[in-house]
Amino acid sequence: MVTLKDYDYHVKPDWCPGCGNFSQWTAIKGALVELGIEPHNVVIVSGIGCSSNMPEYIRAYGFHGLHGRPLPVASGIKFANSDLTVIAYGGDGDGYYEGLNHLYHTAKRNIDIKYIVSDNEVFGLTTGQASPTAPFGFVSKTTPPPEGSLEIPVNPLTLALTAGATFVARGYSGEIKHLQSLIVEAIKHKGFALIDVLSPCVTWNKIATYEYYKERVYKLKDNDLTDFEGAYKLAMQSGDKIPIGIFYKVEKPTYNDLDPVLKQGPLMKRGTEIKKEILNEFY
Amino acid sequence: MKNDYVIRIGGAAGDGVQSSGILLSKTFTRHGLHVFGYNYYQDLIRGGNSWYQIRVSDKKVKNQGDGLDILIALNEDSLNRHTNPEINEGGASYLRGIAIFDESIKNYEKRDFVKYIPSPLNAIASGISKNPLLKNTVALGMVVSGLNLDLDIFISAIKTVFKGKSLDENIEAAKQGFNYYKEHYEIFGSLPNGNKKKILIGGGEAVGLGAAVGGIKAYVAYPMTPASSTLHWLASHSKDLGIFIKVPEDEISAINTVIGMNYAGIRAMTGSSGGGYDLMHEGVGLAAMLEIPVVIYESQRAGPSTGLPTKTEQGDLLMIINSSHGDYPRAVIAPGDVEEAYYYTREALNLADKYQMPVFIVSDLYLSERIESVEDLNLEFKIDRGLIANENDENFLRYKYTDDGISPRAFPGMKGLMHNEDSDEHDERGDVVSDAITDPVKRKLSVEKRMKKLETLKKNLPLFKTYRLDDANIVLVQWGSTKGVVEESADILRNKGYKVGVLEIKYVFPFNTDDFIAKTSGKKIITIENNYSGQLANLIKMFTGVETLKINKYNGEAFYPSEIVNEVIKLGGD
Repeated sequence: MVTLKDYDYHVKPDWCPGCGNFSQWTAIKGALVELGIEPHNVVIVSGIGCSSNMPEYIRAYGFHGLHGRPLPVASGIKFANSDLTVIAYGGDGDGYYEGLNHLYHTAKRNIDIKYIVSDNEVFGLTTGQASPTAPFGFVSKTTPPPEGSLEIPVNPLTLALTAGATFVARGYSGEIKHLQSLIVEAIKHKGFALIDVLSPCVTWNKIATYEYYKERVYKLKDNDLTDFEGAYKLAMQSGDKIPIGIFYKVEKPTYNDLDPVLKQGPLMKRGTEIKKEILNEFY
Repeated sequence: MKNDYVIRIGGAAGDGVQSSGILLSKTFTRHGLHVFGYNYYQDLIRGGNSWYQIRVSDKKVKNQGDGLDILIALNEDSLNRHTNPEINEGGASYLRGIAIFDESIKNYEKRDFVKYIPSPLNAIASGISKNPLLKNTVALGMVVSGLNLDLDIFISAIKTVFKGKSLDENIEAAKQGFNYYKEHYEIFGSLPNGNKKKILIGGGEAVGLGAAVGGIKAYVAYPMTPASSTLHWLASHSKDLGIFIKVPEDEISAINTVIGMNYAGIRAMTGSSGGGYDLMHEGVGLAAMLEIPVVIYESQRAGPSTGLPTKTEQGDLLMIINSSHGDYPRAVIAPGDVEEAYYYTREALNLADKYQMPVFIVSDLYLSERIESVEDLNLEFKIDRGLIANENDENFLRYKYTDDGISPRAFPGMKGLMHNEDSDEHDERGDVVSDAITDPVKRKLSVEKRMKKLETLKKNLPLFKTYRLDDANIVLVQWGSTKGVVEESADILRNKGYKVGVLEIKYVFPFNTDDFIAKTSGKKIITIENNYSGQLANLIKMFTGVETLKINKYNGEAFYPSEIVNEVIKLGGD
C-alpha cells in the first residue's frame, strides 16, 4: 500500500512560513496516496518561481525546467510514456505570462496532463512584482502608485474553457482537503485538467490574503459540470463571491487516443525495426 | 567521350520545375547513372523565375556543376535568361548546347552557341488532355531521346510518380516527346550505361532516414525552410515506421517537448533553420544542465532574420557553438553530402545518449534540398543507449561524479530510482545547491563533471577526413555542404598541376586542435565557406592560432567548382 511516507523526500521546502504552496504540497502528495499511485510512476514537471521548486520536495520523478515551459516538457513525457501520471506545476507568472501560449495549445490538444497553478497574483521569487493575475490598479515595485497595474488580469478559467480544456477547476490553499479532492478528480479525469489554486503570498501580496479569501471563497455544489455556458458564467464571478471547485468536466478523446502512432501504446515500450523496403522509394 | 551533362529546367513557380527535375533524375539513376540535382527557387508559390539543375554522369557527381548543356525553357524569360552570357544568377553558367522550348516562344535573342529546338510541346500536350503540366513530360521525353536513353526506363519512372488517369496521360506525353525528338533531331549525346540502379535521395530525406534508423520514436518540429523536408519525409512515414510526428505551437515548445521525451526515455529529435533554432537556445541549455540527450537538426539558410528563405548560407556555425548562456558541453556535426547526412544523423543519436548532451546536425539549404545518387545505404545500425541505471539500485546517483563525466540515467517508471532533475545547479543526487545556501564546492564539481564529458568525447571522436592531402602543399579546409564542390575543385587544380588536397571538418565541435595542426602544418591553408566572415576560419584561429586564407561566397548561392579553382589560383596556388 502506498503511504505518505513513500512520497517523503529528504529535502524540505524553503518557502516562507505560511506560504500557500505548503498546502498544495500536502494536497498533491495526499491525492497520490489516496489514489494508490506509486511514486516511480509519477512525474512532477515545473517551471521557475517559488512554487516551481515543488518537485525538489517530493519523492517521485521530478523535472524542474525553464520559466513558462512545464507544459511542453510534460506533453513530451506523456507522449513518450502514457503509463505515467504527469503533473505539471508552476506559478501564475510561469503559466499565464511566459507560458500562456502553451496553456492554450496543451488544453486544446486534451493531453492527459494535470496542470496545477499556484496563483498568488505576484512574482514571489523576484520580490513581488505584479503578475498576470494581479488586479487592475495593483501596486508593486514595477507598478508604482498611484496608477498601479494598468492591465486587466488574466482569467485562467475562462481561457482554459475557450481553449477546449476538458477539466477546469479552482482550488484554494486555505482548503487543503477540498484541494486534495480536486486533484484526485483531476488525476482520475482522462484528459487535460487545469486547477488554478488561489494561494496567498504572505510576503508580497497584502491584499489577496487568507483573511481576504476566507470572506469571499465558497464551494460549488450541484453545478452541471457539462454545461459550458454555466461554467463560463461561474468562472467570470469575482469580487465578493469567489467560487472554488470543479467548473467544467467532460469526456473527450485525448491526443494519445487520437494519434495513429500513440494510440498503439506507449512509445517507450517499442523497439526499432527498419525494413529493407524503406529504401524502395529511392530507387 | 563526354560523360557529364548539365541540364536545366527553367520556368516560373507553379510550372512543375522541381517535380520535372526529380522525375528526370530518377530516370537517370534507374539507368545506373549518377545524379546531382538542386532547386534554384524563390520565396513564392506562383510566378517568378526558378529552375532545377541536374548534373548527370556515369561517375559519382559531387555538385551541381559548371556549364550548361541542355535547357528546357518553360517560358520566354527562362530562354533568354539562361542563354545570356551576362547571366546574373550567382555563378551559374549560360547555355552552350541545346534549348528545348515551345514553338510559340518567338521573341528571343539568338545566340550562335545555342542550338534552338522550338517544339510543339503545348500542341502535343493539348492533344492528350487539358493538363497544362503535360508539356513538361513531353520536353523530358525529348531530353531522354536526345541523350539516347531508354524510353521504357523513363516510363517506369513516370509510373512511380503519377497515378490513375494522369499516369496514362504522362506516359503518352513521354512517348510522343521521345518520338518527336527522334524523328526530327540527331542524338545530342550518349551516356555510358551504369551497371546498377542507384538510390536517389535528398539531403533532408537522408537526415529523416538516419533518424529513423537511429531509433527515434518522435520528431517534433515547427515548419521552416529548409529544414521541413525532413519533417515532411518523416510525417509521410509516421505510421509505417511508428514515429510520432508533432508540429507544436512554436520552436520553444518543440525543443522542450523533445527534452521531455528524451527525459522519459525515448529517442526524439527536433529540427529547424536558424530563425527557428534561435527560439530553442534556452531549451538547449536546459538539456545540457539536466544532461538530457537531444539531437537538433539545424539546416541553415541565408540570414540574419528572415534573410533569403530559399537560398543557402553557412552563417550559423558560431551561433550554434555559442548558443544559450553559460558554459556547457555540446557536439556539432556537419555532414558533407547526402550519404553523410544519413550516417552522421544516426551516429548523432548514439553520441547524444552516450554523452547526455545536445548534439547538432548542421546542414544548409544546399545540402538539405539537393538530391544525390548513392550506391547503397547500410540500414544495419547498433543503437547504443549509453549508461542506464538498474532498478532499485540503492547507490544510484543521477549525476555521479565520475572520471569520464558520464553518469547513469533513470527513466520515470523505473522502480526505486526517483530523483529530481533540475535546471538549478545540483549535486550528484540531483538536489539543488543554489537555493538556501549556495555550495561553491559542489558547484565547481558539477561544472567539471559536465565539462569532462566534452573531454571524453573529444578523445573518442574520429580524426578529420582528408581528400588527396598526402602530398599536397595547399590544403583547402571545408565544413558541411561544400564537401563535393571543394573535392572536385581540388581534382581540377591537380589536373592543372597544383598540389591541392582537402581537409574535411565533420566534427566541428569539440574541435580537434592537434589533428588540425598535424594535418595542415607546412601547407598553405585556405578555408572555403558559404558565409561572409569565415566562421570556420575564426574557429580555427581561436583553437589553433592559425590564420587561414579565405574564400567566401555569400550571395545566397552555392559554390561552383570554377569559382573555387579561380580563387585558389588567385591566392597564389604555387
